[in-house]
Amino acid sequence: MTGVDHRPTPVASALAVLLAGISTALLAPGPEQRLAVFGTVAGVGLVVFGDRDDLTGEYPRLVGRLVVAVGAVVVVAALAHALSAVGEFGAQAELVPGLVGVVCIGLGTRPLRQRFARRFVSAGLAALVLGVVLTGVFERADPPALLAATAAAVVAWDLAEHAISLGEQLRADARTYTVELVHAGVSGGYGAVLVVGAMVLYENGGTGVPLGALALLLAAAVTLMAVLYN
Amino acid sequence: MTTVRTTGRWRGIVAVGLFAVAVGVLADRPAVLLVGVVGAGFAAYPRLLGPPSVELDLERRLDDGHPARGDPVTVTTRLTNTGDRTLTDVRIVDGVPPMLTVASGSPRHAAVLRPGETTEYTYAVEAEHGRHQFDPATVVVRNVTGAHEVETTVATGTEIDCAESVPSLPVRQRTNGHAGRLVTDDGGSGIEFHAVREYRRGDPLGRIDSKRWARTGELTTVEFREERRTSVLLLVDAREPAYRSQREGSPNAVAHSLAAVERLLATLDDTNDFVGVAALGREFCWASPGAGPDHHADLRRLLGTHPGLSATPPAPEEDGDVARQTEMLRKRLDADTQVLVCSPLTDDAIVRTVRTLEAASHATTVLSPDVTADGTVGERLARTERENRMHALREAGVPVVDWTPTNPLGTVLLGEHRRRWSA
Repeated sequence: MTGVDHRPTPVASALAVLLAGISTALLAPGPEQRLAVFGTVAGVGLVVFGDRDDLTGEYPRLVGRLVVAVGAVVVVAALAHALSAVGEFGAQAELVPGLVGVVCIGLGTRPLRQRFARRFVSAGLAALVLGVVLTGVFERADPPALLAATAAAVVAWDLAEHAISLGEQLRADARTYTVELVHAGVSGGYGAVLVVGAMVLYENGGTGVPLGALALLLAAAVTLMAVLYN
Repeated sequence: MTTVRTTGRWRGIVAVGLFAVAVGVLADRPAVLLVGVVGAGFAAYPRLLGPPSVELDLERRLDDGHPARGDPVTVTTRLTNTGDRTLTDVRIVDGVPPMLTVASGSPRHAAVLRPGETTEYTYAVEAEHGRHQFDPATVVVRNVTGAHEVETTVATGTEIDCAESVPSLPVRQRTNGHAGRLVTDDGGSGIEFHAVREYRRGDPLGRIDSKRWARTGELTTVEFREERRTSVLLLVDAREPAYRSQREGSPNAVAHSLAAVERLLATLDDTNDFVGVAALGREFCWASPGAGPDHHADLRRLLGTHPGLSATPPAPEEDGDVARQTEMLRKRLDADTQVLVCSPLTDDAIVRTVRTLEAASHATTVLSPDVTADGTVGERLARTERENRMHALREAGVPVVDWTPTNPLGTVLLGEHRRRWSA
């Protein structure tokens, strides 16, 4: 790439794609589903990093483009596999939004368009959360998996956004990996604490309270939060 | 200057919680409701920590403060956290002088700094002629959630001095009558032969052409070119239209003009020519012509610190009134002071200024760094307009030195000198 390189920083981008994949894999335990997730993550990895000359060193541009093209083919193949080999509707509902989310986060961290990088990443988070909620609605996963997948999706979004902001301010050739790793560690740790906290709440107190009351309580809490923001 | 900002990057996360809760209630699924807890937890995350308190110290070292042109100079920048809190996300952009380009490495860096910890990074810049002052480094510190960020600048004085000898000042042969080093067309005592004229009573005996007297019996006097002192005002065009550069990332015309002024000052260092500095721009800048090392040091300090000569362009509305500033300039100029205008000639107002000065009988010369390009139609139009302005000025009897900044100023002036551009 010529000119000033403002692409998202590599470490946080890679972790973001990986976490998005983990988020989807947590919801989709079947072997065919796992294969589709793995294929998508690998393909997105090639698309994102295949032609980054700051990482791959000096090789001809054509080779870089070829690697990206191979990655794109792998992603398409994995999506096709997800649609064809996984027959059941519920299994598709828990898998396909997640895969779309992985692809969106990948396109945001590549990025396809610098201006829309953040929108792609946000769209990726939305797709991942949609996958979680659908899985929950069809009762195809236990609460721990749902919570962990949600936390992984949010942390993936956080890391991708962090990579974009670092890339904007410092460019991709600056040494930034310590900051990226610390940020990933703290966000991931906070996500883990939230999951464990929610599970403790669910196991110990949640069963006796009627759902309606719990829902009202949560809605009140979330509304309060929304009001506090403005 | 320190600003504290809220980035608002977590703002949308509350939607995740709301969405999960809504679906959980509507579909009667406690597990989905529970997802809302995670969403709410992340929505509260940015509220847990306030903006970081930032106390930093910067140190910058050069491997060679006096390089030759084109040499890479390794810059080592060290940033120390002098506060008592760990800063998890420190982003540094070093203030590379506007005229220099980074040859290798990156002047940008990110680090995690515990109290008392120091981060160090190096990069190299390619030396260009002139004296280059580093700007303060810009530091952005985010807290670990990324919700608050503090932007500040940390300064330390560092300078790269890459000397270039400029053969002579592009001034016209008009002087103030004091002895100096500018060779004039006036006959008198000196070194270079000027003319032979008829003997007049009172001519020094040593200047009588004795050979001719022996041959013809006619008394004639040999005259030499007189060497006089000149008084020059270096005028920098630092108005908003002058902050143009050839392409994004390359130095603008004001930076080129300032570099040229620095170099011209250096050639005048060991002479007794009078020199002053002025600038038109957001603020009128003026230092009257004078001589001596102290005066030169004052001029350099003015060039480095005057707000009107900042490296960043002013907003169009904060630009000063150029006609009024020209009037102020004209009133302060001595009658025998020449003016050397450094301007990219990007608009007609500066041409009017030059004509006003010339009409007020101040011999005016223009040194014009060429920052035009020929990529687009607009760029070609700007180039043609600049050529037209140069032509108009030359028609009016004002010599214009067209300087392409990739060429060393010394070479350009030497070439002009050979072509005897001076009127």
